[in-house]
Amino acid sequence: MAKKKNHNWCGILFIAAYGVFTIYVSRILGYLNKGKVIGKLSGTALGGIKESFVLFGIIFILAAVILFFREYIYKKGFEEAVDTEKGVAPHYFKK
Amino acid sequence: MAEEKDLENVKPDETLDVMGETCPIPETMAHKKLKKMSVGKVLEVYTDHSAAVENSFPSMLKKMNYPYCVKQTAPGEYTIKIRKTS
Amino acid sequence: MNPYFLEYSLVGIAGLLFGAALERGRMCFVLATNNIITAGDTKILEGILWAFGISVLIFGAVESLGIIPVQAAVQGVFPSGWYDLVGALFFGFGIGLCGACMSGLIFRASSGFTQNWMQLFGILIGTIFFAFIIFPMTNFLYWILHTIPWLGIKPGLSDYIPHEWFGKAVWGPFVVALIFGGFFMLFGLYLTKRRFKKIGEERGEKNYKEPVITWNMLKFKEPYSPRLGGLLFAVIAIIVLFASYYTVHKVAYLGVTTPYGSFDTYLLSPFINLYNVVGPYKASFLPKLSSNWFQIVPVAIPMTLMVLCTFAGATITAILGGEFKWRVPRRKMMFLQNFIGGVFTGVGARIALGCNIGTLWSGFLMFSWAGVLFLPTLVLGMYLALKFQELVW
Repeated sequence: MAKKKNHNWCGILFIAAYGVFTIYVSRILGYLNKGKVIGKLSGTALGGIKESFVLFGIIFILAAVILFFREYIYKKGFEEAVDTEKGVAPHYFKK
Repeated sequence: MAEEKDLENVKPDETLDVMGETCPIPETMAHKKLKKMSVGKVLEVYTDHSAAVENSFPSMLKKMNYPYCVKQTAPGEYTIKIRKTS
Repeated sequence: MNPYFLEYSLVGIAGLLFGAALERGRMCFVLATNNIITAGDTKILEGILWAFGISVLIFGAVESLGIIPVQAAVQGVFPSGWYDLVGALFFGFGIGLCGACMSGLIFRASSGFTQNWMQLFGILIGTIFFAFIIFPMTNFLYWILHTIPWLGIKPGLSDYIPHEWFGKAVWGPFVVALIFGGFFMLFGLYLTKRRFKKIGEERGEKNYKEPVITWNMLKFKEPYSPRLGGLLFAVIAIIVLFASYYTVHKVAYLGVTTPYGSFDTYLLSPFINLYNVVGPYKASFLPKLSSNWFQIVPVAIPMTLMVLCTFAGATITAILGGEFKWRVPRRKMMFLQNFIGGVFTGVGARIALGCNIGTLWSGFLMFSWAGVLFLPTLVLGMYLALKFQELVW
């Protein structure tokens, strides 16, 4: 059968990209407020919204880093068991 | 008809490759292909749509009463073999 | 603490949960409909019915008990009208072509289906197409406000079903919730029972049952049962309701399409000053509302963060569950089909002022007619798309 392919790095990159986009949005919000596209947000509102976007951006990037470690360091000593019965998720067991 | 383990080693007569496509394409195309095939032949479907493997295919084949077997060939990739019995 | 920060953070957490519920529970309207039409399988529909039923019942109870005053809940009521019917038809056809609804799109795209990324791109293009071509050319807002008064936007509270039926009675919301939510819940339970009975008969087991939750599900070894997904949906709706009531917005609804419109704004605004293009025009209709270019809601709503979190949450669970894979369709025609479907989806969602989450589910949650109006043509559209694809492929 075809060679096993693991594309998890791609998903990890995606999560990191979401993090970057979230932080980008937090920067853009200030710009939009100036152009009155959002409406007139007060300073507190803009500050709070920006903070939460940055917070989640950082969370996503951290999640990407943790998943990266799980993928390439933690799982090194494990072998993948292909479960043909259920055919759903791959499980791992110690070699 | 429930899952049939003997099918795993049977050589398929027809194949259908629906990798990367989501519902309803895999089921619809398999259904069409099965309709055209003659009785007793085996169809092999390659798919990576897990929802199709978990739900749509089993219930569709149960309704049509065809035996089938599912095999995971790689993470997230499945091969389904279906025998047309009637 | 800054209330805005609190609200957005809580909604973000709800978004992560939402992503997990979507991806693990396979909550997709198209999948549910297709399973029913092609195979008579109701597993996913049960989950959706649970989600609708439980959340509607709790919302009704909360409003009747006065935990959240009706006045606050009513502010978020969706205006309903003919455009729900028209938009839902386009929307249903679009999502049928793509094989993923607005919520299904999120988990498909996050588990690596490239064709659903194409759909997302189509939605972004469709939204711009609607905002700059259809909206100004057809004088859309005028028609919304001035046609068929019995279905048009009614000012204030009159589109709130409990007030329409029972006046200002305190128990009104709960009775309406019992009618709608009770129907969903009972129908869901009946379908579950019927399915178990059928499987039990086939396998010769008398008391066949599938557990709602098991350890293997929590350890990401099995996908969630759709009913667990439905339960999580209800939890998310309640988190969003309380988070926004006790912080800033005072009204709560869930939306997925509007954030897509916001993404357009975020992506393009550094390059084009769109406020100058569309803003004054729309402002002439809506002098009191601060508007983004696509809809009558502001850009900076918590749902934007929620959708980003949903994408991230779904991707994380997909990786943990070993579902993530870069999936490219063999037939490249699928990209075109998904792009066209995405444009349909985007335009339809804009016409109906929401998608299957924002109008259908939230419509029921807000006890507005929007949900009821959205449903029949949505199903019709999905059915047409299914038949169309059977014909073509």
